[in-house]
Amino acid sequence: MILNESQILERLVDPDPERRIVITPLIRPEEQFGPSSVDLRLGTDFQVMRRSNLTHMDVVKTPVELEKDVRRSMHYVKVPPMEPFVLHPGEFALASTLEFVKIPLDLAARLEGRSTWGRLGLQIHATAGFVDPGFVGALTFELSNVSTVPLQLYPGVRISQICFFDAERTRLPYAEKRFSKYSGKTSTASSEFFRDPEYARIRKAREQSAFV
Amino acid sequence: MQKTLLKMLTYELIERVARFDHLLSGLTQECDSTSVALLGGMQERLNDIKKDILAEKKFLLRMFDEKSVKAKDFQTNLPGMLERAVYTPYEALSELSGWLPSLSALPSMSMEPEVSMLMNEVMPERLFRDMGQRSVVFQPEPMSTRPYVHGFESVLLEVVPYLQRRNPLGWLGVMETYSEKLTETESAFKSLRTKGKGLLAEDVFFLPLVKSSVTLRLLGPAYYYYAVADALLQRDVVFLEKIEPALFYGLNYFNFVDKSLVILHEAAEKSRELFDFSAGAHSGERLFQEAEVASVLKAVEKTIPESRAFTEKHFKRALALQERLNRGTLISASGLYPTDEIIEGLNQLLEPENTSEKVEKAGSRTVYDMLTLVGESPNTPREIINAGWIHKLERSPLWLYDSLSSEKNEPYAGFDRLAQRLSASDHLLLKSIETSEIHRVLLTTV
Repeated sequence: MILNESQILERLVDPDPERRIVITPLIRPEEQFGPSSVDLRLGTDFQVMRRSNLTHMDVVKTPVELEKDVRRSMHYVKVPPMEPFVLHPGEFALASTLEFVKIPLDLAARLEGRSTWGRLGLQIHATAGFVDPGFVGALTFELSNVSTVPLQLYPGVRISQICFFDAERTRLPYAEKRFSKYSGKTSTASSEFFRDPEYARIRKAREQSAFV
Repeated sequence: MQKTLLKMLTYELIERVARFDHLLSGLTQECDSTSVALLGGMQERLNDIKKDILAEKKFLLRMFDEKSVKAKDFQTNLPGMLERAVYTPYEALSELSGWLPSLSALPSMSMEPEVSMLMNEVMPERLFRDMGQRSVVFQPEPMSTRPYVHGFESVLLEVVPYLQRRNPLGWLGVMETYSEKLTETESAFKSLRTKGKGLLAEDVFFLPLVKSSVTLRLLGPAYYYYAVADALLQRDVVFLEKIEPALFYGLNYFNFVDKSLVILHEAAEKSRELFDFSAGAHSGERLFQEAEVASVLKAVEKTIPESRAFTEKHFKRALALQERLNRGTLISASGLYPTDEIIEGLNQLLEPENTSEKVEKAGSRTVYDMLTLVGESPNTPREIINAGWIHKLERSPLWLYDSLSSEKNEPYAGFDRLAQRLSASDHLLLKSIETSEIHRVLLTTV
């Protein structure tokens, strides 16, 4: 079941911290609330893929080397509060919500775009709009401009909305998940794919299969 | 209280070492070939400093045991140990920081927008104009957190060490320049200066007292925490002997009450037993009298009205943010939810037979009424920084213990863990200051 505005409100003020939804700062709730969602705002830090001489991310490298490669291939942009970030047509950028969000263990959530911005060609995520129970931190946007004109994006602008679903209480909260990589972050985090344990296994298998 | 003083001193040193280490490690990835050798040499020297501190680890860890601190051998060896474990490494670190400007990967000057947000909050526009164009810049130079000013009459640059660039708790000295300016321009202080008797008649005591009292009025207890920590590490005799007791009186005068302030004051008092104050150039038995301090504080109140001051109300807000800082939650805003009122209204709304029209007709609260109630208000940069200092004082003994408890095979791992913690804590405070600025803009009525 998807929560309506009153149910979201009830969870925002729930005296039990385990059941409480946290969305902070909640600046103008009367403008942010919809029938079954709360609008979230754009934060100030962005990451854009940089054109470099790096041909690919070589997973055979160690996680430390791969982390350096990821850093080298990303351009970090910090936008002052009253200045826009310009997303050009066809461009992809990582960003995050201005808000710090905490999802209780018995709710899941979905982050979606707002139609106002969708009509201008802004997509706020490529594939990862689902938010696990127990998530804590700023949510990541995978921004794309699919229109033909550049978009000026000001920090604090409502570009997305979050809706909540009832779920059975999990025993595997996102923040405590053994391999969770993005919990507790308060700003934009780039991919840490190299921390996925599969790569360690692939590296080991490649080392062991020297004779092919 | 000796325990608190020792922990504080050791922690302040170890924090600076961890920050320095973090800075050098970050540069390793960006360094060009010309700086590689110098950077390597600096890292080697820093490891020697860490080694020197850890050589006293056994003794330092005794700080965490009440009985050990009271033991005679501990008391006897204390001055020598402080010299070896704190002051000699600190001097070596200061010397090492002199090499930072030679690293090409480090910008010669950088600015942080969050400093401007703090300055804009504290400085009234009129005085800001009077003082000409001012900027706070971070340069890879001195180790002390106290900034220095250079420039012309109309353009002033306040220089803060690069090491404090991302640490808002280390910026508070920038406000002292502004306070100093007020001591020269404001009539209340001019008159005190001409009529003052006793210590008030001596500029060497009068000026630091007024400067510190004005800054305390503007920044609240965060300034007291900052100034005492810095003075202990710098062995600033004048401050510890004459100004600190007056500032503590000022804390009570302005109604700032918290146990952390009392603990820190007692630690500062203990320092007077440990440090050789007779060596100070301005030593003397006489302290500021209560009436003298009160006359200065009255002049401060007159110059900085309540609307511009950091007050008891702000401090209470800062204290209330501790729980959220402990959980790593953003502290840019606070809400005062009248929960019962909302729940009662919600229960009415959630009744299936109560349609919106019925609710409105009955004069009950609508959803929009209740949504307005849950809106948060932004915390100010000063409240955020005060909350950061209280959090630091509360957590630093644990962080210190952890930093000293390194494993044999990884002797410096404790410094790395502390650097990670500091980085996360700095980021949370900066993010909170920045987000609160956006919040204020979005609350503007159009």
